[in-house]
Amino acid sequence: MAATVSSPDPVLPSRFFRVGQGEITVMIASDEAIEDVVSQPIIPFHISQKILATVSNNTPQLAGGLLEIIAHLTGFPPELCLSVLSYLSYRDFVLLALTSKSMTTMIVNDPFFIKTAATEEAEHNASGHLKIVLRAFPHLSQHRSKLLCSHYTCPFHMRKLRKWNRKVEMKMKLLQQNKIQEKDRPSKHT
Amino acid sequence: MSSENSKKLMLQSSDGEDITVDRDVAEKSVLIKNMVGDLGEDAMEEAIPIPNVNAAVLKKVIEWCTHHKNDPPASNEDDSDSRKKTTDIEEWDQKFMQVDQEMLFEIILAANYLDIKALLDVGCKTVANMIKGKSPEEIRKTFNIQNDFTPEEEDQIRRENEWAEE
Repeated sequence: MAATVSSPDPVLPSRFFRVGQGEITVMIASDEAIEDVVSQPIIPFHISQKILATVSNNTPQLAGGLLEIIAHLTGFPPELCLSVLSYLSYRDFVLLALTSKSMTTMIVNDPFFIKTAATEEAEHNASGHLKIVLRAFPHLSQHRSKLLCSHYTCPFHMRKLRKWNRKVEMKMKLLQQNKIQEKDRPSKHT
Repeated sequence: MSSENSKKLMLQSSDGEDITVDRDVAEKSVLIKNMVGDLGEDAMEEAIPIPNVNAAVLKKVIEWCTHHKNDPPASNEDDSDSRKKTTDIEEWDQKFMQVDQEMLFEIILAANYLDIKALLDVGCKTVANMIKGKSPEEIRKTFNIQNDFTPEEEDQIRRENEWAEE
């Protein structure tokens, strides 16, 4: 039986439609809605203004933004810090921002941070799967860069990879330990 | 190996120590390669001054160059998109970089001065890895950052940015 598509659902956000009737209700997003979502700017990293408002004016600020922060943390000359920065991802910057309020205020408005976010988002979008994921999880559309996906720049994907990596490393360690223990154990035949 | 490549060069560190090194190893440094190219055979007879690098660091740099002397030169394509760079470091380089923070920075500065791009990359990756894959607490400990969030504020921002953490 062909599914009938009704006009925008009055309960759901207007860009989503209900498909089908009876017991099974499937929610999908229209092509226009997807385009609409993708074209909107997003702010995946969030810190409330309430918290930011409590940053002390006496907190020392580093004028050069991220470059200065890395130079300050590592003791490197700023010109070399650019190379270090190029190896850090959006997620790394977010974790750095979460270390303190002053760090947050310095990082969140830094052009390098904004550029990195935009680059990763663009790569994510250009990979072509973003729309498919948005169809599957329309209720998460506001946080589209956080959606589960298989793109290598996606933090969720990386999280799964890291978990898998840790498991493999643990197993390797255990195997090595077992081997050493077996070697150390005196043979029954000698 | 050709006879030219087996020739030796003498490098003089900033603290006055002369270090003999195979020419093909020393020429991993673009700076030294250009100097030898400009000076020709004269460069073989006199010690080449390396005024920005002390003997301890220069020996470490030579150790790295010796291990990597047969590596193919990096192509320009590698530089095309820095955001796609990986921070994976091969095992030997990881062990090589297991030095104290001061020596690590000295090696990176020497690699920058001597223009050894591959060593500079390994050094910068090592520094980036000091930040990467760490929780905010671990980053605070590594770099001595004071946490000025109240417990409630920290709880809130961690919930809102849960995706970034493990």
